[in-house]
Amino acid sequence: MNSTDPKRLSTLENVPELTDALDAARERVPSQNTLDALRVRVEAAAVAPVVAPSKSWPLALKIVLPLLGVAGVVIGADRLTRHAAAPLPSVVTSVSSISVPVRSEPPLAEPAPDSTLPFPPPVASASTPVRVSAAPAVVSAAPSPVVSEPLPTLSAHIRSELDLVKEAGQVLKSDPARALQLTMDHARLYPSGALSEEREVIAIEALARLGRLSAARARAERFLVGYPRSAHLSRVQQASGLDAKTDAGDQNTLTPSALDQP
Amino acid sequence: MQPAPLLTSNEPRVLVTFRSIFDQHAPTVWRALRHFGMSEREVEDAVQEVFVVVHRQLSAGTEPAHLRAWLYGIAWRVAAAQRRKAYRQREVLLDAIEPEPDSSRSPARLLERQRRLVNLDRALSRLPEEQRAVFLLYELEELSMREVAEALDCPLHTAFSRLYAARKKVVAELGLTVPEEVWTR
Repeated sequence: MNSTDPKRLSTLENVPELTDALDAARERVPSQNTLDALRVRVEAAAVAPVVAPSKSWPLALKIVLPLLGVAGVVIGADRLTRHAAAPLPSVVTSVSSISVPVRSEPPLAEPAPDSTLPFPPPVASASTPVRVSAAPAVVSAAPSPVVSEPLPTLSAHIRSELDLVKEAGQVLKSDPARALQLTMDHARLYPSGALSEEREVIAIEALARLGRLSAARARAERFLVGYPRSAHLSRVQQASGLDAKTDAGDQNTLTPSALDQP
Repeated sequence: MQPAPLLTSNEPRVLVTFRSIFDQHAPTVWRALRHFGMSEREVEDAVQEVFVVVHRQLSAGTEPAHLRAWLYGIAWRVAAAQRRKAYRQREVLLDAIEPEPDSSRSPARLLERQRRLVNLDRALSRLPEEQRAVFLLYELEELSMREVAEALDCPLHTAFSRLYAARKKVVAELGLTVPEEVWTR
């Protein structure tokens, strides 16, 4: 609150009719399940316009994977297909009508702590497939500061997390042991990091490339529990050999040996 | 099955930013939209619309000066667009946006709290939209008045005028007496 701002009604004493009602109104937040479902919808709708599924999986693998690694994977074609085919309700059609005034750009500040970021690692949450976020509790129990709240992103903290996962993805093919070590570093430094899902994909593929198929399979099973809606399910299943549809002659199968193809 | 597409170099950064913003602010954006008049049926689509705009803006390089003001501003415009589209004034707030029951409170206490909430909702529902928005953003969401003005894209003095007008009506509607300091800056 700025010095010129009036005293808030919720801070008044002896007016419980008002303060109590304001407190109760603040408790109106959606359930975690609602938020989880919304998040999937929003990401699908937000990314949909820029996603152009590649025509050839092997071609995409040959060209794009070596360039970027798998760190930057977001909503996949399979996820989009799944949500487009079934119950994705009313994708937004009128977004372009909303104008958004943007003011000056301030210096960026530190992000929120990791606990507010999504996707706890499957290793830690294998027994609890439903993702738990602290967001609603934080919001209702302790309203955010009043004055300016900087964009909680792009700090050294997040850049560091991103760099770790990106590097792991980049060396996945040439040095899977190094890639695996980087994913372990990421898991230690960012156990609930925003890129935990991508980290797990890389770790599973690295294990498979190293010939540690049973470990890859066990980790893949935990991944399936922790991220049942992941865009990377098929990749994880194929890399770990969990894909029931995998056949020896399937050219699209991403087996450890297939991963080594140029 | 085809693999997930890979992103351009900027997209992971946008994704991290977007996820962080969503996880921290989606609950309050949802709440604000409900208080702006979105029904239970409409609010999820409205939240989706807000965050699609957020994602688009982040992808375009936007780094808002005041994140919450920016988010609530988008939410306000989404709600306003929905209202225009529907050719109707907002419905009352009372359609099933009750908070989760808190077992730590006694039934009598819960009942009293619920009664007060219903009264506040009724008072708010009788305010003009702009006054209600200022009241909600300042008193409930606890933005500064500068952020409120930014979110609603109005001059600061206009935001103050709307706040005092809204306060007077709410207090009168609830039949309360409040300290004099409430009416001064």
